[in-house]
Amino acid sequence: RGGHKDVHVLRFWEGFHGEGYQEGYEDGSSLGRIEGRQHGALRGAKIGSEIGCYQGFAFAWKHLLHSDASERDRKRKVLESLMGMIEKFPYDDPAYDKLHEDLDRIRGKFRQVCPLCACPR
Amino acid sequence: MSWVQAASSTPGAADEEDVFDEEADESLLVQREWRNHMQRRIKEGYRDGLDAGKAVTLQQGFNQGYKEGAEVIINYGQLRGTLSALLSWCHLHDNSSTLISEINSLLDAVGQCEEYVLKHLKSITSQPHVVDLLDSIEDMDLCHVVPDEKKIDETKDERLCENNAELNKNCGKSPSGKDCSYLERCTTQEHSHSENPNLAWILEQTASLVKQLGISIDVLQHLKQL
Repeated sequence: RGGHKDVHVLRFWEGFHGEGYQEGYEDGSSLGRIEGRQHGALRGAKIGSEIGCYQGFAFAWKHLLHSDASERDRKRKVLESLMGMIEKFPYDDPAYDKLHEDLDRIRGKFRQVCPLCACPR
Repeated sequence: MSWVQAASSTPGAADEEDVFDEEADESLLVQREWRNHMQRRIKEGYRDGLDAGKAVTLQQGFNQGYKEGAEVIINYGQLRGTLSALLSWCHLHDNSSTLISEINSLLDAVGQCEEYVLKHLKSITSQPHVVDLLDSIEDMDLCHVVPDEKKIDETKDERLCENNAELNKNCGKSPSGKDCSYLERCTTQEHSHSENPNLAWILEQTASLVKQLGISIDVLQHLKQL
């Protein structure tokens, strides 16, 4: 096989493939964006909810400690450490290169906070 | 047989018609083959183009959605954390079980609010941006059709994906199917999170709880943005 005539024939059919391709590409671009957004939103919300929870917990306890004299300083130090880590964490950036590292560190710090503040959940 | 006479009255015509019919049949067949082949090529092209287009925008869309999801939910998370702190405070100080069970129901309520917000978020992100639509309308020929919601619904997936550097399509998790019975009691309307009436009610209850515990209202200061 092979020869001048066959190349022309192939090119002829490629033209139709190309027509379909263009239309498909446009549709695929919008569909991909929409699908990606949905997946991203759920994933981002998961992380945001977790981080927000640690943050709210730490903030609230910081204020509660003002009225609780016992073991105030030790608890406060750990809380402030947790709050500092959360502050620095870009919770809304999915491309942050240390996302999982930092998230694990925050979780570890929260577990430290827990026994000090007797968190039941 | 009069038709034989009628047929043979035009000499040679019968023969020509016969030959013509054969050719007509053959050319119809060829036409059909060509049309099928053409349509097949267009369909293949469409599928290839669809995959290619998706691959380009999937990650972009993911990053955009990620930001939106995180920002819309973070305040709910903070509220949940605050309530958890109050709960642990109660446990530490041996407070009445009625207050503890009240905090627990508020925690459940916040959880349901979050799910509600997530459901609402899904329906928002399934609508194409008006801007995207306008671009499509400008770019396309008038005989093309803008992908409408029906098409989008067909491809909509409810899988969650782990966010690594690349999008992993194989992760799966079914969305929670919890009943929003608590929400049904309070409202049946759909609101954005900033207008969520349940949230306002939860905040009110939390504030009164804080007063009952004899704690300064400052403990809720960081929730101002809600």
